[in-house]
Amino acid sequence: MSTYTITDDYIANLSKYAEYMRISFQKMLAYRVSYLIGVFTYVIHVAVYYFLYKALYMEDVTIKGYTLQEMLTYVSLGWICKSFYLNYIDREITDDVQSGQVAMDLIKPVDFQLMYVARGLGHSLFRIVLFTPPIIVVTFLLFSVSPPVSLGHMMLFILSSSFSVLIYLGINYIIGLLSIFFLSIRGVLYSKNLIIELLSGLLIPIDWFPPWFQSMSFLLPFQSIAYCPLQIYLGRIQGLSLFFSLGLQLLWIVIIFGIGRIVWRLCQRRILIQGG
Amino acid sequence: MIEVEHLTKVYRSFKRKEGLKGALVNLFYRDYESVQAVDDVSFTINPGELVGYIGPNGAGKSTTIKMLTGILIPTSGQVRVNGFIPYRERYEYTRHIGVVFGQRTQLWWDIPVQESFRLLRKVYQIDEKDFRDRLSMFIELLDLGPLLPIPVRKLSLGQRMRCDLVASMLHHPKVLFLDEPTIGLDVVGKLRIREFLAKINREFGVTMILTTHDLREIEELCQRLLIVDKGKIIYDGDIEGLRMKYTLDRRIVFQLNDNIDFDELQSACAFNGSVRSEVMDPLSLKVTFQRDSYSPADIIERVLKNAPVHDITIEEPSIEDIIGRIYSGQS
Repeated sequence: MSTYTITDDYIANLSKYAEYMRISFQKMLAYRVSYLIGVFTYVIHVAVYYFLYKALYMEDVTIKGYTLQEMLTYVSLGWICKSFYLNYIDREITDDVQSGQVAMDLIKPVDFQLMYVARGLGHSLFRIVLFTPPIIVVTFLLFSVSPPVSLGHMMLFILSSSFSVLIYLGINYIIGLLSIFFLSIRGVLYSKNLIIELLSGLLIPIDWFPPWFQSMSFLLPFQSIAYCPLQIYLGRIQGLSLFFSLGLQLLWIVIIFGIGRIVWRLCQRRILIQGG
Repeated sequence: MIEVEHLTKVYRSFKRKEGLKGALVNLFYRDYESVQAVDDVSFTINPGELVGYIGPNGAGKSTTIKMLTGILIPTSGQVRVNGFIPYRERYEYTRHIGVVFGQRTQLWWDIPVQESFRLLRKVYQIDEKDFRDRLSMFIELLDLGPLLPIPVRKLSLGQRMRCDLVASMLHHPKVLFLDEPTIGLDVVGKLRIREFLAKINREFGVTMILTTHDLREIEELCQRLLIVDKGKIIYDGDIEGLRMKYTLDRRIVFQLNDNIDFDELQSACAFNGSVRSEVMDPLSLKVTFQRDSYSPADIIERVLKNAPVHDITIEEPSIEDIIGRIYSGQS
């Protein structure tokens, strides 16, 4: 509906969205104390899955190609990733739409998707700076977590988990927009969390599932969120496959952001006709 | 320049049926009902005008403001503001307008006010120097200095509203839309905002549309008044014109020195049938007459000739009385 060009918005106005990221970071900073307390409850959460797998293995066996040590590393590192790819922009969008506050964004020369993506990145930045480091320290001290298999894998793991941030963000944006079509979105948000935890491979590695489930999950974007970076960290993806996995993540980013733009067009139309 | 022609907005809302059976029916069959919020409204506002847009709750004021600001698509009719069709060119259009919704805020709740201002500088890509100059001027006008480092959630409603006004003015909009900007404020808070609006309208020629329920505000600020009721404009003109149009009755109260014979006085004055006079207490006489039948001087002259008067009060119905009467449909 707007007549501005892509280049106008994506390049010349980048500073605008950098500012949204900064202010979102600063908003999170206002709640830093509760996040620092949150570190402890988070570590307890990780410990539950950690000891669950330890009990499951009982003795030194290999289950579906994972040794106990690999599995413990997998689960600990998975939750470390989640500690920074998580954001709550779905809830922010839902609240803004339901309260009508969305009007205050519509009266400004901003691209709705880029604004929310910037805000989500602000959340993740806050988490990477203040929430994830203590979790990494405590996790590595308390639990038995292996180091990455090589420096190269470590670098690619960092790249891959940065892509995870964007994929999760793009999905969360779409989920938030769905609130425009449903009066109550609590159920949607709740099932989203469950589905993403399961299909991303955060709870159980994808290759533990039955074959039909595996093939389905490889056609969906979720395994790019957790399973992919964890496989890279553990060195279970080597050589050219590494670039295939990262390429697939990039492809999903493009697709999800594209879908996000289309969904917003539909939502915007609805808001503009029904008045929010 | 704001041009509105035959503007109409019809909301279509989904009518829910009651009970379990109704809920099941709703799954398959939906019944809609239409509400006409704005009904064939036309007006033109010239640059620099400060126009009051008033009407009872549910008259369609906010709906009109939403269509003017581009966040609502009209069902039919035209809106043009400074050459833009608001909803169609929303992105470009919003650079040139400021909007204040009294019930909302565009400030970030948990962080200091100045951070929201900084964000707005980037959003509207305001030149650093212009930004500083404007901000320091607004800080002075609205006495905001001490508020800047305070998180918005700790501000009082009046303080927050002053900050919101500044937020809507930082990019120097040519048109400012104000939807109940003083709702819930105390007398001092309202006064401050009135003074600020009057000043920026006067000095910068900012065109303003103001909706409010505070008629004092209208009387002091607005050169022109648009009154809407049930989605239609029922009055467009200045306040004096409104008085002329809707208050045919005027009233003069005489304080008397002595008791008088009321009937004798009435026959002595020889008013025609349009004048009602009554004795309120033994020493005061109230004369109600129609604007177009007698002049006040005429009335006073006749009464003075026939009764011992020591004080005269001419009562003009307040703008509030007039509008109250219009709202309740007895004009």
